[in-house]
Amino acid sequence: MVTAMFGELDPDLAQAFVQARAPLAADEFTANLLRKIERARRTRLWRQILAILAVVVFLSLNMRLVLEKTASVVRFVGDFSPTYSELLVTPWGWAVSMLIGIWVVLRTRPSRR
Amino acid sequence: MALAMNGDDTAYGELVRRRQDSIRHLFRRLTRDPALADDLAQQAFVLAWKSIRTLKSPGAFGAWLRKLAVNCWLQHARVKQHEVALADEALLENQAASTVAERLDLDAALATLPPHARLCVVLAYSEGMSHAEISESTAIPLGTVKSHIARGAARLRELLHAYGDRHVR
Repeated sequence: MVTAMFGELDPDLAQAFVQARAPLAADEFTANLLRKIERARRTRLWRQILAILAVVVFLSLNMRLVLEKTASVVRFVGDFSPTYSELLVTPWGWAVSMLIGIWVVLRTRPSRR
Repeated sequence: MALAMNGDDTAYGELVRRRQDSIRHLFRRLTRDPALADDLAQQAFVLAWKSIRTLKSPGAFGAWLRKLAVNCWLQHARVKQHEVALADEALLENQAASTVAERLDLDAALATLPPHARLCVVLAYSEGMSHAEISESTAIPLGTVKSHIARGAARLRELLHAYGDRHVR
C-alpha cells in the first residue's frame, strides 16, 4: 500500500510504518464482530416489530374515526351521484375512499387531541 | 462481495477476515491502544454491515470501508477531544522525563501529534493515500493536509532519530 505514495514520502518513516504492521490474528476479532452483528440484527428486528406494532395500535385507535369519515363521504357521494356510489364499493373505490379517510384523519389530527 | 451485499453473514465474515488487518492497524496507529483500536475497528465494520446495501460499486468496498473507519475515528476524537489532549500531554511529559530509549516506538511518537495531524500522517504513510484522497476522506482542506503531513513527518523523524536507527529499522 505504501508503494503508491512512496515517492513523496520519507523512506525511513515509510519503512517504520511497514515494519509496524505485524499480522494480527483474525479469528477472535471476527468472531466478536459477528456476535455484535447478530446483536445488531436482533435489535433492528425488534425495532421493526415495535414500529409495526405502533402503526397497528395507531390504526386500531383511529380506525373507527376513519370508517365513520369514510362512511360519511360514501353517503355524501351516494347522495350526489348513484354511479359514484356504486364505484365506491369496488376494491379501487374502497382504496381511494380509505385514502380520503386517512387524509381526513390527518387533517383533523385526532392524535393531538 | 455480492453475497455480503445481499445479507449473507458468512460472506461478510470472509470480507472482515480479509480486511480486518488493514483497518485494525489503521486504528492502532491512531489510538496506540490495541483494545480501543479493535473496538473502533469493530464499530466501523458494524457500520459497514448496516449500510453495505448502499454501496454502489463492490470494487469500492476497501476505500468505502476506510472512509467509514476515518469517520469513526474523527467522531471518537471529537467526543474524546479533552481526554485525548490530556493523555497526549501526559505522554509528552513521560517521554520528556524518560531516559530509557526503548520507551519510544512509532505509535508513541505518533501519539505526540495532534489528532488531525496524526490521522493525516497515518493515512499517508500507513494507507498510502494521496493528499487529495486524505482531504476528501477527512474533509480537511488540502493545504492543511499537506501541512499536517509535512510537520507531522518532521516531528516523527525528529523523535525516532533521537532514539536511534535500531528502533526504526
